[in-house]
Amino acid sequence: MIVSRYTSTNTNACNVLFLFLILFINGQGLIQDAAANNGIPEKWDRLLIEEIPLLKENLEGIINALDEGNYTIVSEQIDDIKSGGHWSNVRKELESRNEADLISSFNNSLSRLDKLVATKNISSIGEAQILSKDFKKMEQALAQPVIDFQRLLLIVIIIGTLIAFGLYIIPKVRKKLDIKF
Amino acid sequence: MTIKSSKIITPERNERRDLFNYSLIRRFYRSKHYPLSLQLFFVILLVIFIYDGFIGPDSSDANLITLSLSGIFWYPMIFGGLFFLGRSWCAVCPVGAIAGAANRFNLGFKFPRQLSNWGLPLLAFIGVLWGFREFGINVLREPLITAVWISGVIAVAILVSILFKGRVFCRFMCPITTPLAVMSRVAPVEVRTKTMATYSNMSNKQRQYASSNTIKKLPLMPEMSKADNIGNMTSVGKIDPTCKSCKTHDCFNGNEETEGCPWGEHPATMTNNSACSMCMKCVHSCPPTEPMRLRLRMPFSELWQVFRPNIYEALTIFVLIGIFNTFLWHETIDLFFPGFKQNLLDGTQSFFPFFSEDQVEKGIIRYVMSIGMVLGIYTLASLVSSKLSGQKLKTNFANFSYSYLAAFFIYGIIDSTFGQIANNGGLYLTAALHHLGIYLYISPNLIDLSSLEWYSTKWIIEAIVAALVGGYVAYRISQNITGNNTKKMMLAAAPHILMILFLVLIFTTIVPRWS
Ligand code: SF4
Ligand code: SF4
Ligand code: SF4
Repeated sequence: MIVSRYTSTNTNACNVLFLFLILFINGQGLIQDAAANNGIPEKWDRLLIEEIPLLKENLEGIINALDEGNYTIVSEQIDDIKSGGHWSNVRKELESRNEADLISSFNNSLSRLDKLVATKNISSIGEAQILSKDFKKMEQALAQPVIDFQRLLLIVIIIGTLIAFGLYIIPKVRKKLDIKF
Repeated sequence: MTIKSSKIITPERNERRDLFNYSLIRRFYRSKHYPLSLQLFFVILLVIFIYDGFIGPDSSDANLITLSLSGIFWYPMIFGGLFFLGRSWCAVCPVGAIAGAANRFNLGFKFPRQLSNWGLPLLAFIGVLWGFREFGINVLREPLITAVWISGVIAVAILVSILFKGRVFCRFMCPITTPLAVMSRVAPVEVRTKTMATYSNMSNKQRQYASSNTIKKLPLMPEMSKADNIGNMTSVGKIDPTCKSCKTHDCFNGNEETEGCPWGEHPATMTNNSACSMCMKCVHSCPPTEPMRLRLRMPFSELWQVFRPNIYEALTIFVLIGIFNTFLWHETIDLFFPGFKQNLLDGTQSFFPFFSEDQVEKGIIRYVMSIGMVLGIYTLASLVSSKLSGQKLKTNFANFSYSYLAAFFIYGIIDSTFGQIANNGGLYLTAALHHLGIYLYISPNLIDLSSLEWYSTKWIIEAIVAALVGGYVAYRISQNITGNNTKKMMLAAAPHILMILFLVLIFTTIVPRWS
């Protein structure tokens, strides 16, 4: 005789089904609300995966070009930082983290460098290094986690509920259709 | 001749290696929620990834489907996981889960015999996963293309599973089934029965005394003819007494609670890991007397204990090695014979006039040459080895291939898995945490592998460990197939050990390599 070692059924899953349905319907709205409540700006779903490496490339470009004494390239890189979307996205993220000091420090260094480069001033090299340091500070600030607890909880609940639902429903379907699983 | 007692792996020693002795592991694997809950989790993730692939960011560094499929899933999880848990990925794989679910409603057709081999999956692995990108279709790095491709794979998996009986898609179609099958042999764990004297727990001396009669004495399994049974027995061991008297063979046939082994394996006679996903269905379905074990073994040991190595598996190993190490042989040869590269390009292009020179070079020449050269070098080593030791070339060729697999597995793990985590670990972490609502930016490069210090450390570990492990496996294989004749054993092993060293040094040190 075959004795089953598994006799319990997942009744907990049943209890959370109702919650799951409500969450499913309102999930998107809750995520958006959670974002707004946390003061995360409109385009908060940003990874900065592309922005920061681009900014880093600009800064490396500036330092390399200054080493070679090529002020035209330096100006181009500065323009790229100013007009390109990547710095503005990083800035938005820093704003949402209340890091106004870092933003103004970077902006000030950038405009000082811009002026020095326009006159081909040799002290541009020192200023570019200050700019690099400012950037490193920004990177450090962005490496600090900002946790949106509502979103975290919501995602864990939704995925957990879906799994619990599956664990509850699949054996039922299996029995009903008389198939092994 | 007597067998030294220290060499014999006694049942007591085997019992101590059973990981089910640890309650946490036992509870995890014996839970009825394993692997179902993890399958569900990955199915949910896959749906989210595909959704993102269709409507998410265009950048492969930001889109979840490309980040996951060509990044975190393939190298660190699937490839890295093989090293510890064999092809356990297949127990939780969402595509396999969907195919398995669809298969419950199959129409019962038999999959054509002519296609029941590794031909289709190898073709898909080489052609689609690697070759297509040179012709403008990168199924792993373009979000939309990746989403379409993976949806197509799921559609084919469902269709095949509904049409045919058994896990046909996973065994004979999935593009990654061949790498998984051959590489799962290196894992340090195995699902087996209690006293199954498989090759993996028999000493060399024991193996030498085993005869084909032992196989013939094995009991028949239900639904299998004697010929099938013997054909499938890769073991010369004896069957577990409980299994011998077992009337139901639930592990194989299933019972009212659980299906039988989805991969068509009988754990009591299974001697290798290549078709075991560690899904534990056999453990769940076996009646309470429970002869099932999850046994720890020496990593790589299965590679020198392959009972019936076959030429096709050996060929597969070299196709994989050639593909993983896409070395620019034509450029290297050109250094010694100037003009070789251009002649080869012109000659090949005359056969494929509709492709550009670049496509011919990248999509055809380097793959064909990469595979052809390793296969050629290996055949040469086998020829020398078989001549020196007086063996048949076929035996030598089929057996020693596993030592090269060992070397390149080590090298591949360090180079790809560690390299992938070191180079892109921050990227994966940033993206994963971001979607959970934890916002932070981590630099993609966790370790700067371009620095000389790290590069040389990686090289030393990669080259030395790979050559040592490959050489050791070659030595053990040689020991097994040449018996007690030390001179023959050395002569058979030496050419292969030298070739492993040569290939490892070429692939790890010389630069013309494409990644
Ligand atoms: S063989 Fe392929 S589809 Fe099947 S479970 Fe393994 S990885 Fe998934
Ligand atoms: S069901 Fe259990 S006892 Fe029976 S053959 Fe399978 S593993 Fe052995
Ligand atoms: S033998 Fe079959 S049922 Fe058992 S763990 Fe391996 S794949 Fe699963």
